[in-house]
Amino acid sequence: MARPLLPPWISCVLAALVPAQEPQLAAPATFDLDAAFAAARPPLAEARWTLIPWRHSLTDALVEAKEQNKPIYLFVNDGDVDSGRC
Amino acid sequence: MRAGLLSDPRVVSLLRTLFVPVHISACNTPDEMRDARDAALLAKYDATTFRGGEREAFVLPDGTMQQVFLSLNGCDLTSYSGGRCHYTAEARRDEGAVRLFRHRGALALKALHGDLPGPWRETWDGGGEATAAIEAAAPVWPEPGAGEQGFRVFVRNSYRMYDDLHGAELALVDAATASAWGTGLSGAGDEAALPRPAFVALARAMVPRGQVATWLAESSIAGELVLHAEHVDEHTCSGVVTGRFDLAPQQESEAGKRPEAACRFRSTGQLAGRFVWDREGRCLRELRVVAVDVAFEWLPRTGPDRQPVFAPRHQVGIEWLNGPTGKAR
Repeated sequence: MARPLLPPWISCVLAALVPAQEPQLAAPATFDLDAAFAAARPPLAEARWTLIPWRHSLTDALVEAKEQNKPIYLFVNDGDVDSGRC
Repeated sequence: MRAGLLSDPRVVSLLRTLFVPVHISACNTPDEMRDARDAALLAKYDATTFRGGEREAFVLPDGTMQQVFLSLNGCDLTSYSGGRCHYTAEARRDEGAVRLFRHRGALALKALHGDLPGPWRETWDGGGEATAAIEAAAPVWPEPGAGEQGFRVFVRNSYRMYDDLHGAELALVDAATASAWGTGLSGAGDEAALPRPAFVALARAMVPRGQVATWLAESSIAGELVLHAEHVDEHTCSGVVTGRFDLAPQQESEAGKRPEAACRFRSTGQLAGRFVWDREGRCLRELRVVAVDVAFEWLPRTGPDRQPVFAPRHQVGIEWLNGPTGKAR
């Protein structure tokens, strides 16, 4: 069961703790943390690529393909696919 | 993952059994290649074709590369006329997104084996146990190694013609910093800020996806993450987490390593969550934080083609993980 993240009384306490020169960032009074966290994760329908045993060397994969007599599926993209920095 | 077909359970199942799946970076970002030998090898095939952007091809065991294609555009690379096809999350789940994989994959298998293997036919004829197992399996997200600990950060955002890109990565925290962070929380009302170097590492993992190797300078990162104790007993301390962030690369080179596509951005917001600190073990037992009240914008340098098609959106979810031989989880 999701709980309110911050009860009203602690929102006031936390607001008072923020230094005067900083912008006053009001904490939300009620908040479903678990739902928000789930929404930030990739949906399952777009996350199954993590189950693919990617090789990251085409040179080595050619040796493996010959040994196993399998074609290579090559996916080329700029950057790192694992972290999504691509 | 932009190529949505790579999350189709049939495609995943077949890649695991009938093919050797390979991902490498393109010729214009050789620093991102994990095997330096691949730069020359890829260039030998076709340096122009593999110079930037997503590309797919089947390669036979004798090294013969077949037609290069792009599932996102729904056609072979030489046939692309500029129209968008499978760039949105909904379109990437469309049956059309796997059409080229099925066509080109069948040609590769026939070229190698003379006929299509049974599992290939069964999969496309209605599934099979392997496909069902993939459909039911949980994703594999990055985990800290033995003795490691830190944040696992999930990111989702829009970027240009993509309505929903995402990423996941670890921002590890060294053992000394991790055990010292909450040690001073001895009573309700106490607070402990994450040391700046660890916050910078966390912030770098929070950046929106869509560009190559985004890496913000420390001067482009502001913010904090603070534990606030609410309930303290001899064993644990629990409470809320607050914070704020301002991610604003000053140089395009920070935003992305592919110069022609780099686009600065600014994302600001608050961080809010909960934590449980193990006072005896001097470690975080749980922490879950999300970004809230996020103000996010792309800052394209020129031209309408650089303008985002979809409203800017940047979601971040953060959790703490202790490695398998680390302290209590």
